Amino acid sequence: MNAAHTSARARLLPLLMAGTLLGVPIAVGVGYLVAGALGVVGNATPGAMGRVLADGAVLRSALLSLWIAVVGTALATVGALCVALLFDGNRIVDRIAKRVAVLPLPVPTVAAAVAVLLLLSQAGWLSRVATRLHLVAGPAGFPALVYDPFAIGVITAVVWKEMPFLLLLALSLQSLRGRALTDAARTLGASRWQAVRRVTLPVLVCGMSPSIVAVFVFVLGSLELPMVLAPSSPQALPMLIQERRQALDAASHGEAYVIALLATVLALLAAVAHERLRDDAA
Amino acid sequence: MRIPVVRTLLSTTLALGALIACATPAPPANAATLAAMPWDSVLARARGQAVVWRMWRGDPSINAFIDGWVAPRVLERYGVTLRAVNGQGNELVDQLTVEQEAGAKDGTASLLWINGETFGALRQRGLLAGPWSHVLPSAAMVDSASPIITRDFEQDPAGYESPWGTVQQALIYDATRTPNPPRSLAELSQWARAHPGRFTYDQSFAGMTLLKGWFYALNGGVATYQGRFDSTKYGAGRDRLFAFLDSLKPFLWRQGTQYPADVAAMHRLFANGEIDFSLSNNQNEAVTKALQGIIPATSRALVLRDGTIANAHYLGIPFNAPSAAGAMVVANFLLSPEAQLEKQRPQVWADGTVLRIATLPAEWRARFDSVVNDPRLVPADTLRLYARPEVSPRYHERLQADWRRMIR
Repeated sequence: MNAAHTSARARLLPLLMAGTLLGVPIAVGVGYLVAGALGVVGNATPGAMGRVLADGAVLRSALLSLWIAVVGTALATVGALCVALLFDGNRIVDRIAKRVAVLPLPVPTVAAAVAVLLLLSQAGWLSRVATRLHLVAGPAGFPALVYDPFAIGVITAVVWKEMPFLLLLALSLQSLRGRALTDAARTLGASRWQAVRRVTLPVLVCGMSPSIVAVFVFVLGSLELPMVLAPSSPQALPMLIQERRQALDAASHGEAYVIALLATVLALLAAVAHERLRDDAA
Repeated sequence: MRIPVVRTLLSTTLALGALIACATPAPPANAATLAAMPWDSVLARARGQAVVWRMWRGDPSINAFIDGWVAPRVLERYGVTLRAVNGQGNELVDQLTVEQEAGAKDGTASLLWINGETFGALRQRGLLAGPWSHVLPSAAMVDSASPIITRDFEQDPAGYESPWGTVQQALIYDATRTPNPPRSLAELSQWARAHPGRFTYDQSFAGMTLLKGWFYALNGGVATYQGRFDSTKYGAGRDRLFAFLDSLKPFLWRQGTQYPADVAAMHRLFANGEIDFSLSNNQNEAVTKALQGIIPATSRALVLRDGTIANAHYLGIPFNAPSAAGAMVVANFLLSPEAQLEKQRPQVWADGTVLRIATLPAEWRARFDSVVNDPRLVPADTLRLYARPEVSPRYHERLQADWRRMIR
């Protein structure tokens, strides 16, 4: 009884500490955004909330950022799963493939953005090769892959940066649980494809799902990639926040807080949806 | 009913910080008080002071000039320790407002790099000390005939800020690629139509400043907009400018559906051969960026006959400067012919001087002339002829907001 009581208290203390360490900054941050949106802090004027909600530019920015985050995260996930499943062995080629795939992991985000710019811009390496091969007549003939309305450049950089992280996770899940369960399924008479579809994939996706959501939320709020690669119209959400925050008129400052709040809500929604789905699956 | 909790928290933190920082509780003399003393007393008080200078730290060559050239000299000659830290525009206003509300007698910075709306906002809230700049011994050499220097975005500096450099906007082109560049706005518009996709402007301060120059040009010159902001005049002028931009749009880079983020992106597109003109708020970048290998060596500066915007930048001293005397000594040193010349050298910063070169001693005149008369730049007299002053900052503000809403 007493021992149980002590152990409960012993467990409660670290929980409280962790909660304080993690919760307080978030609460202060969100509180500050709300205060800024209402014009309590900063030099914002009230009424920002209404203006932002009626502003088509904000909606377009939100859609672009969601598009980048959804497509980027999806492609990175599919890529990671493909590599994990296709090179799931101990051959030389498997080992090399896995090594190569995780190479971008330590590359700083800004460096990745600049690399994509050098590769894909209309005067970049690809364009120059195409010009040499007489496929295009000059920079303008090469398709716009950076600063483009579909944010192809940004998505490329997102996939390149986030795939190794998800792949490492997939590989460790494979060796921890996936392979054993797949072998069991094969022994029980499942075909190779059936085993992958019914056993391996669900195990991997389930285990990766918190990280997939984390990648999605990170991409949604990341400023470095859009800064170097994104279109000027519509702007990615973090760029729009930055622009309004630095605008000359006080009205825009309040809007910056409101848009930041919107972005926070979008990220929270993703986390909540994920929790819901997990509960349903359980 | 507002409950400024966060403000109180911030203020308390700052006040505590200020209390802790006050290791030497010597009463700091205000710049206005110092201005009434003989200069020798200011020099004596400055000795041993540490000056924290809030400035824009975004350009490595400017940082090198301040940290590596100015700081050692003011330390050696005047015993002033100079430390430049980051801070510009609204940040300065926010910071000082919080210090003022916290009742911090002793602030953190003693010197600020400011101009235009920042100066206006600081003055309006009583955050600048002054008047003091008229008592600097070097102030006598300043070109007081130039409207670019004597008015800061139509505001009277009134001794609350001291000028230390000027810039004038220019287009940058490659002489080998474009041997006969357009010389006026009308010619530029024809050129863009004849070379679709080869011209654009950026969506940052530089691009908006370019548009402001066109705004004057298409509406009967800058005189139309001098004086207070007039929203009726502005609206009519804006409509004319935007009609012009709409007609130009299909011939711009990416048919005007996208605009480069800033001047750095403009230089990159220009160097890569994706567009034929870059842009800079400082015409001297045609030389400095070529020296750094960022744009082709054959780059030249170009000023359209319709005029381009020129403005000056200034130094201010906050109301709560802990080392106002040191700040005045630094501001005075930056106005010396020696510092102004070093600053203007293309290898250093290429920032325009605020001194009237004609009235300087002969040796300095010759040295300035050798720097100013670079064939890659627009000659000084032409530059002066086409220089257009800034008007009320409200015009810039509205133009930027409307451009983002209606054109981009």
